[in-house]
Amino acid sequence: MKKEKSLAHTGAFRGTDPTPPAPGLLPHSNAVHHGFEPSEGHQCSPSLAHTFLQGLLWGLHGAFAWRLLIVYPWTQRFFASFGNLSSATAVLGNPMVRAHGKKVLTSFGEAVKNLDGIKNTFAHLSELHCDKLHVDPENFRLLGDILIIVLASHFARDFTPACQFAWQKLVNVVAHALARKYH
Amino acid sequence: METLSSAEGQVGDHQEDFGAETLERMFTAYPQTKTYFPHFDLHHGSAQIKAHGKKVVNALIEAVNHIDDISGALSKLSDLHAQKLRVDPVNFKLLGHCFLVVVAIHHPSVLTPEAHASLDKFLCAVGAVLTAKYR
Repeated sequence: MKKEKSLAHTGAFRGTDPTPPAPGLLPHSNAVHHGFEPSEGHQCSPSLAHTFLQGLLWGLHGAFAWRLLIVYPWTQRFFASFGNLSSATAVLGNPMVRAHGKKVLTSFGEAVKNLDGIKNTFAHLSELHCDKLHVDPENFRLLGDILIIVLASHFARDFTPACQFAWQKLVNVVAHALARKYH
Repeated sequence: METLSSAEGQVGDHQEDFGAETLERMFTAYPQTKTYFPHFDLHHGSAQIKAHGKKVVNALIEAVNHIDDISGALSKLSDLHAQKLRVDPVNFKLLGHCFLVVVAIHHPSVLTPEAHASLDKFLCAVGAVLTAKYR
């Protein structure tokens, strides 16, 4: 499949099963969550969002994390303990980067499963990122943008404008929830 | 240029105060900016804020005095921000905005629309120089 080839070319796709589940149809979602609601007859349901995330978790979590650290190199400031991040090659091969990507995506998965309670889902993480990790919330927005680009590059046309719209709202809501406890 | 010099001249007499007030306003209005200063005492009147405020204003004055070569004048600071500090670029706008607020409060007559435009443009240019070597 074209998408797997292009990712394999970069060495970024390391999933053992290269075929993520095909995105399902777009059933109308009855859920109305924090502006995650479908609009103008376009739908991108939470189940579809979950499907996308599953696909990412299977093989692309490393891709997502290294992309952030390479495209926005100043984000490396938070990962001094991750070892060698001195070049794109080093970042690509760094197992801690991959592991962290997986952690972050798993968190997103929790958000998608619990769209009504995103603020609560991330309350503790918000406090952690403010009080202990001292992470500028701008980084959550950068990360959200990267996630969307990785989704787009992997799912190509299946990542329709409506899906992108829904995902933009989701990443905004997550970024907001993560920043909510900052003081 | 004259506008900027005039504005900076007025600021220059109160470097420490303006700088400190700029930072305090930024930390209060945009609490996320505090994440870059976990090692600072951020209480009102803190000596660290005063000292850092003075540094910031001195850098701005230096830039105004070399308006035709801001990147040369701030080259070392640019290196520092790229290699060590790595402050997200969005924050320079926040700092610049708070600086304008401080000028507006203390010298409202300086901040004519034209001067405001000049100063804002200048502050954007400084932010751009400081983040120019990020990648």
